[in-house]
Amino acid sequence: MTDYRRLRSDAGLADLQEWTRFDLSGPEACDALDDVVGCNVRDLFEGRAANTLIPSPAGGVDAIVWVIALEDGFRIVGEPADREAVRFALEESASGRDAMLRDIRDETFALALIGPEAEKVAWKAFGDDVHSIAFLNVLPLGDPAVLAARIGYFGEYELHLFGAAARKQAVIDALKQAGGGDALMVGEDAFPVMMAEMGTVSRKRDIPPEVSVFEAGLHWMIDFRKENLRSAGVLERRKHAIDRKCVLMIIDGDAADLRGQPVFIEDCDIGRIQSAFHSETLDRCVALAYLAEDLGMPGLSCAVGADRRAGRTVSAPAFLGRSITDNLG
Amino acid sequence: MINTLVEARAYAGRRKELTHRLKKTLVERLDLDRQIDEIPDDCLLFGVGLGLDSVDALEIVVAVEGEFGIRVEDGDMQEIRSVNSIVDLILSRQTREENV
Repeated sequence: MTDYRRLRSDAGLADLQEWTRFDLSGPEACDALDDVVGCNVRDLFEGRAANTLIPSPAGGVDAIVWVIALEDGFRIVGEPADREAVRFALEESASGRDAMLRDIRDETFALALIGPEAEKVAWKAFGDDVHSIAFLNVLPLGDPAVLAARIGYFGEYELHLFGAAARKQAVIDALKQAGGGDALMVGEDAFPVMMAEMGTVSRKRDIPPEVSVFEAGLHWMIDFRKENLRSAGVLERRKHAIDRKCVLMIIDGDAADLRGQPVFIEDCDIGRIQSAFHSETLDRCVALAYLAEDLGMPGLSCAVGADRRAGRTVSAPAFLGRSITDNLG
Repeated sequence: MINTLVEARAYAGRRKELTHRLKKTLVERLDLDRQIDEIPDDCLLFGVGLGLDSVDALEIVVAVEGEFGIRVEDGDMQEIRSVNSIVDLILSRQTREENV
């Protein structure tokens, strides 16, 4: 079974050791974080998580992060490539304040248990408390001790687990024993296509520096009523100057070499493919493309690349994962 | 499916108008603390995204049926996941009724 198939139909455990993790604590941690991220951190209660971004000075995206509210501060989690951007923004905001920033990547582990059967595996390993963790909620679990967060990227049940580095192997062993043995472990190779299928963008892969928050379709991550919203003036201007839109596409043929290829309707060049992957579920390429603002929408037939391969724009997500459809009844 | 640029632009105009109407309906009926242009077309409605819940889902069905004159059936509930997916549903129902 491929890692992709395991994650979409069963359960897989991924080691996210390299992923970004910072803890921000102290009396002014909330102020320091709220000045940096788009969401309203003051509305985030202990035990809750929010998906948000750090706006760039140009109205683009410096980083996409999950913010987790803890008893004594906040944990900021993101993809590996966003680590330095997160560190820079938080260090700058915390300096001169009574707030302490710690890069906890090397002293902690990060694991993600993913897939429609993942909750069952977690329940066998950690007990009934697992069932009480709703999406966007966070709960400490005991023996082996972890902080469990229901956050996600792939449209499946995902339980992200954090704990002391010294306890990592014990947690992995407990989860392997609970389900699948060594076969439970998966790599990250399937992540890009699974993200693309859900229309989930990666800052590094999918958002060029010139693209605005609005063009990337991420403005839902921002509370525009915040008085301290970072880059507020630029964001307001770029809200009314949208040149392109990020759109999900399904394309015939092979995904190789599609990145950067033009998208046409008849002979009119309407945009470019940003990233493309082969989807086992769809048996087609799934791609994220930036198309002209007036045509950046689902329901269009297009031709892609010099060989004019057939493609169409679709609504995201491209399908619902089994974790969701199984619960729809 | 749309194949020519002229068809695409006509479709885009119709779709944009529908999308705007749907967002306005959602903001008003669900009392969302957002402006219409702060809701991306592909933004998920439930969980992450707009953070709506199952009670909101029922309100969305009532609102869509009332505003757009279509019937949302039990089997359509999977389509109530983003603004774009609801617009897809409305367009397919309108097209079906036009053909009938």
